[in-house]
Amino acid sequence: MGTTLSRTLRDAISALADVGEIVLRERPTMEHVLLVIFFVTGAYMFWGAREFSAGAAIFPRLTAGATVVLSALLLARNYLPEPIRSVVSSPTQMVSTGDVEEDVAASDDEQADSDRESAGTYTYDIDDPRGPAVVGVLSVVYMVLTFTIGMLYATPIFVALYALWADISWPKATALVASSFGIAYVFFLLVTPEVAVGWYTEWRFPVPVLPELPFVAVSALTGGSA
Amino acid sequence: MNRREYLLNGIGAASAVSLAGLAGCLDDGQASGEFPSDSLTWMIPWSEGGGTDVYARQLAPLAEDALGEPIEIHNESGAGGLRGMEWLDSQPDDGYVFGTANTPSWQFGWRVRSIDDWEPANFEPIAYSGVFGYVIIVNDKYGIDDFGELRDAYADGELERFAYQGVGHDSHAISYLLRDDYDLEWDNAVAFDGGDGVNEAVMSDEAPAGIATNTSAIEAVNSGDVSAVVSLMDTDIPAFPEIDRITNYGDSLSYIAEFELTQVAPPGTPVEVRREIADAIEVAATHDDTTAWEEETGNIVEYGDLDETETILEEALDDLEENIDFEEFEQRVEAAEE
Amino acid sequence: MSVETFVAAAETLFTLETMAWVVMGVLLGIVVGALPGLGPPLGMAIILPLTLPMEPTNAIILLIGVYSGSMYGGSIAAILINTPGVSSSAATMFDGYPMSKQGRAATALSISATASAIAGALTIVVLLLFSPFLVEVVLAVGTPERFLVAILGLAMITVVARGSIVKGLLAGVAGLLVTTVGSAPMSLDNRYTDSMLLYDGVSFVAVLIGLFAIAEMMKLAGQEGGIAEDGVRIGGGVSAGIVSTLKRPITVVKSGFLGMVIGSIPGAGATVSNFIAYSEAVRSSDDPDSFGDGNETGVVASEASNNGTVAGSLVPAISFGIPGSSSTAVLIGGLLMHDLRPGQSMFDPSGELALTYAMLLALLLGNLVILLVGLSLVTRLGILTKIDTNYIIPMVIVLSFLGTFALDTNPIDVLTIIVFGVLGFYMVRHNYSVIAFVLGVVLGDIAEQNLYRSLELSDGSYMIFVNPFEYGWLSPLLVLVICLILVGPFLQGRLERYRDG
Repeated sequence: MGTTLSRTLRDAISALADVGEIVLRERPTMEHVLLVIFFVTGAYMFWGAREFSAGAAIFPRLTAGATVVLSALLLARNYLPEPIRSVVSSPTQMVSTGDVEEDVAASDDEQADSDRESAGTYTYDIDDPRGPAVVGVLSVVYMVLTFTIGMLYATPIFVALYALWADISWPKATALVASSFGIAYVFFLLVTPEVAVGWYTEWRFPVPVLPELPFVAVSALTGGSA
Repeated sequence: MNRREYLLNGIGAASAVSLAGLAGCLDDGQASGEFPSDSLTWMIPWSEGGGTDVYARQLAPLAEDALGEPIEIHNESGAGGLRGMEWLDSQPDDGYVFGTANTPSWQFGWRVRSIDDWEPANFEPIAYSGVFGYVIIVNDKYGIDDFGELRDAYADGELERFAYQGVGHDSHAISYLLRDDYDLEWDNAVAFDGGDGVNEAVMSDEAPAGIATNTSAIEAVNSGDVSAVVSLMDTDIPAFPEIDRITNYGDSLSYIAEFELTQVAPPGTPVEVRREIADAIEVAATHDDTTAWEEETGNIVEYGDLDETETILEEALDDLEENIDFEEFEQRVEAAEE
Repeated sequence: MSVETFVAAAETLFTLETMAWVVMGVLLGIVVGALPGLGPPLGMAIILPLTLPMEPTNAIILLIGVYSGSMYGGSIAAILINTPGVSSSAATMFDGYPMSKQGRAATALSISATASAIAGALTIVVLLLFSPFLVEVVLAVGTPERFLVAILGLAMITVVARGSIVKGLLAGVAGLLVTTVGSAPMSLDNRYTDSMLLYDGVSFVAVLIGLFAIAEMMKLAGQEGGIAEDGVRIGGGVSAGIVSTLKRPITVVKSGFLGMVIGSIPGAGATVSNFIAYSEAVRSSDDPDSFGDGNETGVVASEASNNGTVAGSLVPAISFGIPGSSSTAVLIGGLLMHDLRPGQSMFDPSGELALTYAMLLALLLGNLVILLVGLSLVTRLGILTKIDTNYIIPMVIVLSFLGTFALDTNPIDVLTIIVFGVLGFYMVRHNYSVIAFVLGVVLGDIAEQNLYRSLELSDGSYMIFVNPFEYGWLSPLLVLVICLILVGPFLQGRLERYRDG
């Protein structure tokens, strides 16, 4: 059942990608998703600006309009006539480090050369695409827990889930979870007690009182009998 | 909210979450009659280090001694002070949480922004602990000493621009009042980024004159090249004993240009507990340390009890409505940006 | 220089507590910078909310310490494990990594420490001496000039963004667009939302934490666990590195000041300066071919320039609130968080001048700490690069969440870090300049408010930006520079083709 579902899903994505490939004239990647997000957000915000008074609408219109135009240009880059296309998609090196890189490249092996390029353009390789996805999803889970049970208890749960996924050994995972709860507890004590409140639910679970913190303990216990 | 109160509130009072069973041994401090039996939270709707915050940080330790319980200051800044008031509105009404609101600044902001989730009138008065207000600062290169000369300079066209602290801000409304009722005929009122923005604009002569609070004016005057020429307040400003007063040129502007730092509690907070807090604030406000601080910083500390505060709160919004045509103000804001 | 204030600042700094913050900041910075995948802006972004309960002076001094320390820490990762991604030390890798492959890692690391410290200290002394003139500069820069400086920063996107200009511009305008959410500065409109939670707009500190912490952790999670190669042995002599640096005083001084000047241009940070200083070192060398194979001059140039950038980038940051780099964007967040407004008062003896001096002195001291730590612990620093990323990732995310929430206890901020974390991850992945995006987010409000205010000042006339006779020469000059930056590259390309043809 699960495998059928995931196969159907994979088929659907692959079909969508095929359509995308025809429309975009290149295989769609997350870059296109990113561009569509920019495009849609820009369009929505341009449209939304009509409700503002004249002065307040200028800047949102300008920036939203530019976002729409630029993301559309990048989405449609394979349809553009040659001179414009090269401006849109080809990298232009503005800082004159070109000389250096050529000089160095000439006297170096290929491996180092590709490293250098990656440093200059600030890109990198992803060995395991599941990693970022898992971190992203776990962060969302963390946020949902934060808004329901509060960050104090959401924190060790998040770390435990991560440790589970990363296959960290039990003793190490336990230490990691414990120290994360420690950090959250320090925030509770020193920064803001609101970390123990679920913002959406307004739930407040009881917070452990450490015996080493006598004034907390005393005030909690005497609160009722005073 | 602070941690100890959290423990009580959260565990004792939050039975709505049906967790009460977990905390049967703890009770809400208030039930046993003695107030306060636990620490209090003093909410400041501005960030740490701001004008309102420094008052609370001066008074809180002294008030703590008087109450016998700790007071924790909680900054809930944002939205020109309104976010903090919205937060306070939703807090428990047992007296353990209260806040400082600058009356009538928050009533003005609430009215201009047409907020309908909560009402200033529902908050409960405690006391007031200080006063601040506006003065007009002028760049020294114009050699202006009082409001009369300033008025003439604008009338002659020697000066054109006038700086205020932000669109929709009370100082924006005051700019119009000054032109309509006090003949300050500026051509062009320009919004700068808060009090610091106005100070900087007047110092650099981007605008020859502008509206500053009495405390930030001290800073501007000390850094040279700027003078405070007229007070828009009724209260004396010890830092500027010789300053001209707007009342020499027309009616008082104190209903919008002078602010009391009023302490208020969430709607429904019983009067007895509010009196306890008010008494502690009185001790703090009249303490020798506070008097020394007052002289050193130029902040004006003035204590008013619960009943006086109640009157101030009751009258604030009515006075604003009576003197300011809010619809016209809104139209002017819209027209100005075309 | 106001001697009285300077002495007061020194007195503030040389108390045990404040000194402890400086040292702690630098050490934290070195650790954070050296950890795989973590760089200066990330380190500062996670530490920023932790400074919330601190006294403003100590908070800023701690942040400054982290800034300076992580600049050096970044070079450790660059030299030992050749990490791409810590862009401010990118040029250090060119010669630093080959050196460690040749067994001269300790020499490279001590060169890095010495060059960083000397260039850092020199540029700060110069900045201290020039600080009185900065007041004049700040006051000369009025509303229209401020708008233009913000635009200049944005125009620098085309320089900073390596890759397609259109991608860089898109990132920049998208950043600007983010700042339009919330109450409008010139009307009573609440743009795109009526919620009180977004009244003041999207918190830029939360955006920074999202872009630098969450996005970087997503990236790190995608890379193989053990980054450190066992093969790297920390060999070579420490003293050889010191001598080698001292034998190249011209490179140190030139690169340091290049870094300082470039750093003080809004929008251009260490990413740009260490490449330029490196190319300059290659250009002026007798033996350019040896670069890339472990030429020590290359390491000196890159490291001297990126620490010189620290001093330079403070100028636009504390004068106008305009960041020269991502790290200074976080620093500005720290200033604002403690109610310190960048501007004239930062240089005013009756304002915050004492803090500014204390900040610069702390940097000076920080460089000393870098030198001491860097030289004495050289052989042990390698451990930092071997920490398993599976411990780093959850902890950084936990700190980001807690820290962000602590900023303002605003739940929207938590959503913000996730949204911009994911966005940032894919932007970096597909070569959309995150730095351009950050500049947009930081400069949006400044640009919009000052544009609107300029037009109010001029009664609606755009001539305020170009008319030198009525409004002064600075604005037209800035307009000219902006135009040159924007069209320059195209003209250059034309020119070259013309010449070739």
